[in-house]
Amino acid sequence: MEPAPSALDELTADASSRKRFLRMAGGGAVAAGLAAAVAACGTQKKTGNQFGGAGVGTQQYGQGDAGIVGYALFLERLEVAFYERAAASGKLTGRPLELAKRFASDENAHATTLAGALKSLGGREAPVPPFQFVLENQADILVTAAQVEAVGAGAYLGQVRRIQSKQILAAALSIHTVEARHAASLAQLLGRPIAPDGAFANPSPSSDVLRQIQPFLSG
Amino acid sequence: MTNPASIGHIEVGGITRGAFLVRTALTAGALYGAGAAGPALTRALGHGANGAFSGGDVGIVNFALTLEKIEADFYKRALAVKGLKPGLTKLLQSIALNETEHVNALTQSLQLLGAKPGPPPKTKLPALKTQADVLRVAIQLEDTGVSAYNGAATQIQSADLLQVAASIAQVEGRHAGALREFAGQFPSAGPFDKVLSGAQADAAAHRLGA
Repeated sequence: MEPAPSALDELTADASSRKRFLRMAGGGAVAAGLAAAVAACGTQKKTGNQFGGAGVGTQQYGQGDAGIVGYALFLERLEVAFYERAAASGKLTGRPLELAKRFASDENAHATTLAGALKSLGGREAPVPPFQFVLENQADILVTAAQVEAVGAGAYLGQVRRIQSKQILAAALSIHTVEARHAASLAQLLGRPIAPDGAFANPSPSSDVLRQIQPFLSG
Repeated sequence: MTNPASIGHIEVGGITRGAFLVRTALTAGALYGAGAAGPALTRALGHGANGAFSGGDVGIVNFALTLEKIEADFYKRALAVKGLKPGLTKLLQSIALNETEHVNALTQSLQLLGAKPGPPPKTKLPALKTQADVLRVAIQLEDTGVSAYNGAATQIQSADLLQVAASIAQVEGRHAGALREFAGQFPSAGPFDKVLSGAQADAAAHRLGA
């Protein structure tokens, strides 16, 4: 299977490829052009939200979609740092080591795509802090990994309704389900419930997410 | 059939939380829904040539329901296969429970809209004789579900319904990841899941029997 599918390829590209994306994604009435599509989406989607604090935390990363992408990028940087250090810690063997390496690579690809998207939106990436992780033994590392993925999946789900651009939405959805797959793979390995929220996953507002990652931000 | 540990089973006014979420979405989007319930709805119920995502949000809900019915039917048959490892049986049971909830929630939401679910799909899944068959088909189904929901979510007009579709997509992704872990595979084919167009989703569903 090719690693980078349809929608994502179009993300960082120019306006003509965005139009192609819209046709490919069945853009329907809005396929006339990117500007029209974005404007149309803007009138259809509510900018407010019913999840208190969904947008509070993303504003520190920029306005609107740029803020959401910057926020997602920050979370991906955290994941990359975690998996790279976990893989290099010498504490992992076998399947956990294999997964840590693979997930580091996945998260790196997410970060690269989001960084490109942020640039195209005219945003600027927030400084990447040193991050701090406790990497003492395999069992604890796996539990932290599961926590990080749960936070990530909830974070993307918490933003989807706030995204204005269809391209950014497609990217977020595409990454979101890969984070979900990571989370479930780890849950299966740990013998935990694979869908802890039940049949419908819960979104996490950014205020919750930023609180949950606080222990990883060195201070 | 209920899992007390799951808040997905909390009932709100006699319907499951999932159906409540969908109902809330459809009520909040009532203006849009009313507009969609005209000729577009008829087209959607027929799964017309314009792809799985034609016919507005109601059409998309109906398409999703068809996929979920195929999944639910599959898990029923999968669980009847002899010689499954206990760990796999347990996993399939937990997934089947989620899919049944998705079917119920989507069915109720169509009823609340005054729309009718399409006829039950005739599934065209391969014969399931061994554990390997079950795992292979389950992974295919869940991977398809993920990419179809992702595509559908980009075409949904109601922000509330988008939230529901993405929420289900996450759960389908979790199913796929856990099944792949059981099979000793990486949880995803690559760093990005596909986002299907309406035509691609239609083709995928037809391959499965919709």
